Amino acid sequence: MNSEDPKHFTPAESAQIRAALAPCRPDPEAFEAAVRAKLDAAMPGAGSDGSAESADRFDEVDDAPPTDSRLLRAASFVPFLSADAPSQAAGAGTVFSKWSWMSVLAILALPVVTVAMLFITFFVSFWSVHATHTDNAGKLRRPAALEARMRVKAWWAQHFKAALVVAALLLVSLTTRDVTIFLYLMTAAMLAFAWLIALMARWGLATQTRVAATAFWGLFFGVQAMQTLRLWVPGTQSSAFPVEALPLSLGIGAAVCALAPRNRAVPSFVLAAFALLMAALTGGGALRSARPSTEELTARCEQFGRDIFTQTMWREWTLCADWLREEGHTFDTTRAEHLIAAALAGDRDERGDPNTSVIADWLRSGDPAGLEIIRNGERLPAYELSYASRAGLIPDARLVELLDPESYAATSLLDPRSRSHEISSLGQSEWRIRALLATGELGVEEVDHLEHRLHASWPALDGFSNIQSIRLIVMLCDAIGRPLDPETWRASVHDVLRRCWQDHSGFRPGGFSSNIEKLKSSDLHVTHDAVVLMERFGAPPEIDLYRLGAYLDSQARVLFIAPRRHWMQEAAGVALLRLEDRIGYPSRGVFEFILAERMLLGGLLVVVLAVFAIRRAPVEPRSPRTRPTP
Amino acid sequence: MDFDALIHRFRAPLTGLLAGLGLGWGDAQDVAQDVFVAAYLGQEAYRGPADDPVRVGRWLRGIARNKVREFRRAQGRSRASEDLAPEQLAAPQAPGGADPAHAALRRAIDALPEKLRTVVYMHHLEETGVGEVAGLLGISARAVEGRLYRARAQLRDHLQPAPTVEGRAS
Repeated sequence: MNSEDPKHFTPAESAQIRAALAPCRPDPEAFEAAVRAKLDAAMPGAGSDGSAESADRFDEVDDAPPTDSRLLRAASFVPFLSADAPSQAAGAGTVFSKWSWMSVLAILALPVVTVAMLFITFFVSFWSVHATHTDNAGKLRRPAALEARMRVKAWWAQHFKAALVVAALLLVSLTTRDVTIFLYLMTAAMLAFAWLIALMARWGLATQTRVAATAFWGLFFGVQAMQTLRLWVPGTQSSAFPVEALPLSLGIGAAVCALAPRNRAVPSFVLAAFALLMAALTGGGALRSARPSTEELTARCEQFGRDIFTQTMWREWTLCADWLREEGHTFDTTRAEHLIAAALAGDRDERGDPNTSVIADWLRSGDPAGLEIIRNGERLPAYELSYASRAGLIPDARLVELLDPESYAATSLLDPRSRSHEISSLGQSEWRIRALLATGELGVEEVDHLEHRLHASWPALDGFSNIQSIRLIVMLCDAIGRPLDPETWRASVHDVLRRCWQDHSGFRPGGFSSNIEKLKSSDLHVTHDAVVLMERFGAPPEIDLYRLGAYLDSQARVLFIAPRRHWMQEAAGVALLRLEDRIGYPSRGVFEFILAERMLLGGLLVVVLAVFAIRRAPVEPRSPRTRPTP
Repeated sequence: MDFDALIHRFRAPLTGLLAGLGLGWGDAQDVAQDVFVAAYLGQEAYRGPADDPVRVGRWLRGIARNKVREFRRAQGRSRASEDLAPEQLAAPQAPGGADPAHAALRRAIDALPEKLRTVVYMHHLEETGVGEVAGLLGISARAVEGRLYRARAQLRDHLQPAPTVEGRAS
């Protein structure tokens, strides 16, 4: 707008209106995070996590080769594979966007598959016992066969109602949010089953092969049921073990059951291999550490690439880079410097804008041509500049040159009348504050003024950047040389952490939400910043660190055959490193351990009971030895 | 098309447009996010150039219209809206309180006729260009400027002279 034209708002008038509308202004980072969360919810695992693949897919959607339709259909029918593996699920994401009926089918498939598996397990068990009964009856002496039939009938008459109740409760448990109930019932059912097997062995009715087949299919479908349930309630446990450990254990248990009978045949080996394959696909993530290695993080930071969410990409790069620097590791920042030059040139697609190299020269040597290009550009990429200045990618002298000392944005930061006013959009203002500091001309009063304004920017919890704002305030207070005293500020920080803790309810519990009232879902970046705050201010006692660790573990873990983590997974991994190495988990008593690990222990108990039942059963049918005691 | 750039460019004017249509600011942000999600998922439907604010704006406006309709239908089903009232949003967010002059100006903007209020929201929420505002509203850039001129005339009494800057280290 032309400030001389009285028809238009002058810059000062525009600034007043912007200030008046400031409370209504969407916070860019929170806004983007919310879009991202909704996108993740709309197309789970389809690459909105910032993968390079998804960026390419977005940019080159018109040129993308048609995906094999059979693969697309398969991806829709196998939701358990697509949910946690973004790269593998690219096909599923395309299915969802192309054919909505496919996505409906895929969503419906989850409960239908689970219920079907339970019914199949139930009927296979029933059929197995019935077939054993029929087979063995012919081989036994007539009076013994009649006696055995009577015994089984008597047993069923006694326990049929209980079996029906357990089956019904199993189905009902699927509608609850707690997998534990399901496991308790499974364990109870397995105990009853083992008891029945023991009785049948005494009566001469069961054979190892038949029992093994029943146990195998029960555990095999149990793997699928666990996987399906895990998708519904991820990160709800306070376990120290990865959530994939349970389906992996059940799968291995199924393979053991297939091989347990003494007179095993060739199909047993095939079934065992099949179970191991399924265990690897569903629980293979447990075989790979969720903690990223230094080499992995270094390679990530050095191969920094663009993404559809450039701000998010910078945020994730910065938090990985921060961790490496704090740990005393160095890495090559050439790519990052190139990307900040590209951002300053407005070359978001990195399509070889010649201005990028000119600006890169300016960053390196101060060639004024680059600065001229930036000043003639539309607007400065404030977020990218903030991240780059925090990471030290822009020399102080260049940062000072970028800051127009007469601009409203620069002068308003130090305007005496704004002493008690918050700094709007700290994320965008960060680089300006660092640039002001880089001038080396700030006096004590001006630093006091900045300190007051940073304190005044403490979030009122009605926005979407509460924890992130506090982390920025802490960092900037450090930068101006007025660090927040942990003793004084601990209560305030803990209050915000408690309010944003996503404990039980909502989507993805176990982390921190950007606004617990409006967004009942853990946000990875918010959770990372919360962990950083807990490093300095300590963890509030109400926060279950094991649950937090389980959430971060589930976000950082990748399938063992996946070539590498995506950016989001690296970010989760860094938060996990901070939690485990710098905060640590509280010690647990035996009872607390059993309670926390009940899912895995329950699963292992089911496997042990299944193997016990197989081993108790006779290899061949035999005559009953004792009187029935139904 | 760069999705991040799309959000960056249209986040504020779209939120302003939705707020101008009568949605609370929290709801406006929520619906604007839904619009971007729908735009991402339905990107194949857009065949125009990515850098044309008029074409992109028209496309987003179509999505936004549908989303507002869906939102109002949902709101009709459940009246329990959790949106913050404008007074709450305008309330001071930090120790020290909000500037009374800003609060008065905000009330004056809210009291403008819908068309004028909408362009002020869209243009001034984040210094959005007239082109993007025009594209989203489906009117010409000159018409947007005309509305801004009329809005300025009505807000003149509430606008203060430019502040003198002090305290900057020379």
